[in-house]
Amino acid sequence: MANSAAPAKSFPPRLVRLLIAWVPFALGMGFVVFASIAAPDIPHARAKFSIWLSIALAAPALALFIRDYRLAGMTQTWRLYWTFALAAYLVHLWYAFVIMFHASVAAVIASQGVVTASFNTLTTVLWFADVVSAWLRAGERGATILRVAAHAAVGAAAVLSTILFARDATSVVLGLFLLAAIGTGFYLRLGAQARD
Amino acid sequence: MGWFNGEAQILLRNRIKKLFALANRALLWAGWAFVGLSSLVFLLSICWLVAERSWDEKADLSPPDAFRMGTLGLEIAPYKLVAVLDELADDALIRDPEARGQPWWEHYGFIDSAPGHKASCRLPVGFNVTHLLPVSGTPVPVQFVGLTCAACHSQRVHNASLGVNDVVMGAGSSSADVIAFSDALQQAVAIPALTPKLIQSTYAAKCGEHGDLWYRLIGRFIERYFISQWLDAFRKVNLADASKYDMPFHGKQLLDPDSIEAGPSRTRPFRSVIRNTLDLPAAHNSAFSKVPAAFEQARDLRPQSQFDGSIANTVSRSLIAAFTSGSHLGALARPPAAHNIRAAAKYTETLGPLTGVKTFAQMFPSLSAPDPQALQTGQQVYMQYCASCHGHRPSPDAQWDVASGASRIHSVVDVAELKTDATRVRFRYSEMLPTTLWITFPASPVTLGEETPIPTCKADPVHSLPAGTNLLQAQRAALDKESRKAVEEKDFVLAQYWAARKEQFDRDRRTYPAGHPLAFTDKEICSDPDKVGYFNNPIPLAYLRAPYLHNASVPTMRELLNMEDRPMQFCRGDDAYDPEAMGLRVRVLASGETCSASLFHFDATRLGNSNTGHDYPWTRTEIKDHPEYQALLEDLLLYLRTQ
Repeated sequence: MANSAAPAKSFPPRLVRLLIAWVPFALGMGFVVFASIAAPDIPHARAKFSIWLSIALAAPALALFIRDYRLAGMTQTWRLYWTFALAAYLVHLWYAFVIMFHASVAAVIASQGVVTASFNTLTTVLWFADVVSAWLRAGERGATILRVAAHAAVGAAAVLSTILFARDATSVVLGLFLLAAIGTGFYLRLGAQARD
Repeated sequence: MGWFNGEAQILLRNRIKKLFALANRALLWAGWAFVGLSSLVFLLSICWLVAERSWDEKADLSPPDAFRMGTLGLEIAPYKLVAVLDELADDALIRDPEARGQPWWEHYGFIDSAPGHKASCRLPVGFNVTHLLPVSGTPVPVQFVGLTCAACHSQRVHNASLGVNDVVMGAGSSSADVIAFSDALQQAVAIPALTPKLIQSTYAAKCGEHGDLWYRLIGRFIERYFISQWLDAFRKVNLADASKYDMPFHGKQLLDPDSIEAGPSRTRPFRSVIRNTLDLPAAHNSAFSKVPAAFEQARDLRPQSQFDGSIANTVSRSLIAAFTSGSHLGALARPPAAHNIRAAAKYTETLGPLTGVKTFAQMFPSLSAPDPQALQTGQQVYMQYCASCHGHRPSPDAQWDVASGASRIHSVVDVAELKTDATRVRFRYSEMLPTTLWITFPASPVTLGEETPIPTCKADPVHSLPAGTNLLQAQRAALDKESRKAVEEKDFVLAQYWAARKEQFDRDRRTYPAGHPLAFTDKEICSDPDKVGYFNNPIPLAYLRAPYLHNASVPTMRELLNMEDRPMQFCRGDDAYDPEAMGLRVRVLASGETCSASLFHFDATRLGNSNTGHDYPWTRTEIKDHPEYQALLEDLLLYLRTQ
């Protein structure tokens, strides 16, 4: 009788990763596409919703990076969050730059200023390169500099745009979530270092 | 508790373990199901984005097509609802119970697109079908009906005895009762029995379209959802807007000038523009305007549009017309609407007798050709009394001439001199409109790198913007200036208003960070508070401009020339054309008479309806005192047929 009960299986890690990273991204994209239909200006709505999604997904990626970088090694979960956050950001870039700015670099610079526009461009390049390197598992040293730079740039851009230059309550909430995630990452890292 | 030991405990433990295992497996399955469901949502999102391209309108219509059938962001209602309005909303739409049985559009003077055929599911001229959502212009899988330029700027010229029944593209409608239709549509949509399911089934029964397999399995549910959402939103917005727009009229009120003062062929453009642009109430604005003809509007012929010459660019003119008719910023920013506005404006620049619009002689070929001697006399009278303000067409195949003898053309004649109704040019908030219209469409933030030519008001010597101009900054500066001016004039609420507009402007410019694609410059709005009046423009195809004067208060040219008394009370509807009098054949009312239930009572004594003024060449009294003038005017009337 004792052996008749099947042992309880734990959740497969792949399912867990999909549930915590892919599901928010997939549902978030659904929100970006469908919730914007009722908006008075669809490119603006999609640009806004997709950047919200990107920040929401970047927050856990930043937390995991801070917790694990050079301690436990980067996890697959981090990579998924980091990639999906970039995917959402690219959707934002399409609607913001290509449609709203009519792909005009001059308009972007006139609207954002040289410093912000340059910083945003640099962030995009770093982020894209880091995601590629994360999937290609590029050489440790190059990836290290790139990884730190990309995370620092994305974190800074996200915090500045949501907390300092926020124009709506949702952005502020997302900014606070981001800060909380970053704070949690540091807390866990310090805890782990103390245990070591 | 004796029984609960040994095997019983093991049994229970195993059962609990089983239960946990089961729950764990269920959770596992639920997890995978959730992943699958999310993936499905993601896939649907991608499919939707791809399909949006096929639902969207193309931004490549030719100028004539853009005018006739191009979306202007004026989608009004789901197609299936509009197609079955007669079946489902008769009670709200019918103004004259005796006319029951006619298609709804005939009640409101819209033009049948296929006269003589059975009215099935077709739409009148100027009503197009797109997949664009009202307000935003977002492409969706459901069809909506929208208004195009042709809905208002096309005219049915008909005269049964002469066998004439022709639709002229570009002429102002002499029959469309747009404001009454707008109120009636609001009433129709509010009918409680109107549901998406009923609309779909009535449409299928009437139009015999039941859809393909995809539609029957999925499409109809998507369509039902969109129609349901539209119905809810339309009803809510109507109620919410009532505080600013007033409750819509209904039934016989829709033809009652005490309720809807505009009537056929006229609009209240400034009531709309004050509401849409200034976001202020304008129920008491009585600035009526007939739907104008849109012929030969090239800049050299017509540098300033509108009756008061207030806009110097045909694109801005078309944009403002669409915007005040209810189009929204978002829809106008989308490529199809922005393209159509530009293309339709271009079409009006070349549209005219040289591009196919029938001249008087072509429209009424059965009329005998005028006596050449009489024509020559008529020409002399015209050149002496009319050409200085309006120019002339030297020969039927020539361009309109604005040079020879046209000393006063393209100038504003003070309303005190012209003596026509002044309500169109003097109304509350008129001085706020130029700035507000201008800043409604945020300009590009890019500073001009080189001198940029722009259409400007004729009086303005600047015909190009210098390098270094930043239009966006100029718009913000204009708002600051208005605010400061209001404070100086101790109108503190107005200053507050301008501050609020500035906040709105900042929000809008973030929505259109590269500038609204149809943004224009302040140089294109011609406003001179010291000279309020009407602008002298060419009058090509004068016969198609009836009823005359800006407020459509004079039915025929004969009356405009004071050859006959101008009627003070008359009935308007889809009026037959009277070529002899060059205008619309209306029923003139004697004292105490009223119009039949299907006609609109035009009362020239009402505010905004005055038919006085423009007494050229002579006043009615002068003509009565000099009988020889009458013969000269008969010749002038003949000559005007050639213009």
